Amino acid sequence: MKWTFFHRMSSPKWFYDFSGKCLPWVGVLALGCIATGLTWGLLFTPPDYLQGNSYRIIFLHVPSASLAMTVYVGLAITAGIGYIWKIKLADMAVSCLAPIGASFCALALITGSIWGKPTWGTWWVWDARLTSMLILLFLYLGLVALREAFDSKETASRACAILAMVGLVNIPIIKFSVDWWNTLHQGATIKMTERPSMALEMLVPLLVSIAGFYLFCLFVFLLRLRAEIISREQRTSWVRSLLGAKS
Amino acid sequence: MYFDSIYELLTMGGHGPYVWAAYGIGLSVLVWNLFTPIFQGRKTADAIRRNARREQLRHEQLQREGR
Amino acid sequence: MSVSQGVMVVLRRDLHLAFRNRGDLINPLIFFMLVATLFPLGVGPDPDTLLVMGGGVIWVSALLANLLAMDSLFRSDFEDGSLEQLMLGPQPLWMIAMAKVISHWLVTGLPLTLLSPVLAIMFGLPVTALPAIVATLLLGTPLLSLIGAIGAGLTVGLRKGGILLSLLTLPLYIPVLIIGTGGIDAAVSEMVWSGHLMWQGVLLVLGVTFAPLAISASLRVSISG
Repeated sequence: MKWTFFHRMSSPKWFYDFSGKCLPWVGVLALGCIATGLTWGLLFTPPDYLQGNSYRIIFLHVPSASLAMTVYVGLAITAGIGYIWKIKLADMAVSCLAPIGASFCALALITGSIWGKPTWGTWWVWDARLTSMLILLFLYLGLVALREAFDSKETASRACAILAMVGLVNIPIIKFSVDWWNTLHQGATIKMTERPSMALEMLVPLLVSIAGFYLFCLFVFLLRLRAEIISREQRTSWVRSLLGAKS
Repeated sequence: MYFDSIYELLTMGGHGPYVWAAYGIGLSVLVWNLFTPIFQGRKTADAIRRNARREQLRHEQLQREGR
Repeated sequence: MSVSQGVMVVLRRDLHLAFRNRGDLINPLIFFMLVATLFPLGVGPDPDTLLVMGGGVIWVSALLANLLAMDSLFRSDFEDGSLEQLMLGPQPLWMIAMAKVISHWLVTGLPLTLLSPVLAIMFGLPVTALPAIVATLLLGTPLLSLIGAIGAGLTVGLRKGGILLSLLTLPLYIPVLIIGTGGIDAAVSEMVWSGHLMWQGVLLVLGVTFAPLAISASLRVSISG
């Protein structure tokens, strides 16, 4: 195992150069997958025999919901790595991931709500999944707000790292308690959890769309991280020579 | 294409507004995610260049005054 | 001075300060009663509705009152620099943080718990549910203090920490709220509520184990950052 690789990777300059090389590939792949998946789902799949055409929202809803959860876990793990080994780059990554995750979490909630209206006749049900998603959005917004509140970016990202780790410990507990709460209060009879196994012609565009969303997330994450690196390393000579601002 | 006509594609058997609203919002979220970092990066790069130029000007001025 | 002595000194000092400043002691309690009073005024005095809401209202009010007092947990010590002094001392930071959390609970959580039967009777909850209310609050409010202290530690250095603190901590309070009100609901409908109490105990043990680490880490960030 070459640990030098690990250290090299955590150097902002090396990462900036490396991500610059990957960036076009990731971007083209992401946009291609998203365009394919969404147009396929929107135009070329047959309607669902129960829900009609409204199910086409699934090609947006499922990828963003899955992304919202994955990004939080990734964010908290990165935060842990950054906190324990004091890696500057990991701290930066945490503060870049929070707004991305928040936007996808909000998208999952909005599309879920729009989907709910024609399917169950209401915009919102206090269903276990929707409620946990809403709480996840609040956790994200807390991270974003905490980051904005500090003047120093270094302090902000270390504070965010602690909050993210606390949130990660809490997420299973929140999930469990919300599920329990939902079974206790049997008021809402609509169950979102039961979904018959999907036909292949719907599953394939969904998978393409999920892959596209993940790649897109990686793409915008790299963009954000690069902007953040430039902003934090602006006093170093490599950033100055990169921007043609020699002094 | 699954739909027979553009009209059918737009209405989607009554579900059109919901589906298109969802896709519109989805697209705007993607676009927001894409353009925020680009603009931000450009803004910081410009700020850094401006600062560097200002520093250089001051440096030159000091040198001239010194002579 | 040994470690436990140091903790006792901090605890005694904080309690002294709280008792000298009566307002800090009584205001959360007034707030607790006031928030609970707003609900019947907002929803209407129908006894059936109040019976259904009662447990939840008491818990939500307790949660908000707890949060209200949380903002000042570290603030005055942070501003006059004594927190930094305590941090430099021989006692580990998490022990000092725990002493402060305990004193916070003794000053807000415990009085709230003792006051809750009064509210329960005002909401028309059956007398048989009173032990459940007191027991769930007794186990739940320390956990609220522990979780809130993490947020208080993170926001102590910020000028406008108050609203941010509630934004950070309220989502984390949700499991405590759900299990607490679940226990009260079970007791109101005359079912077994010991299970809820045990879950609260589990969460409290988890909180006591992990929260001190998070509190001291967050204080370190706020002080050194």
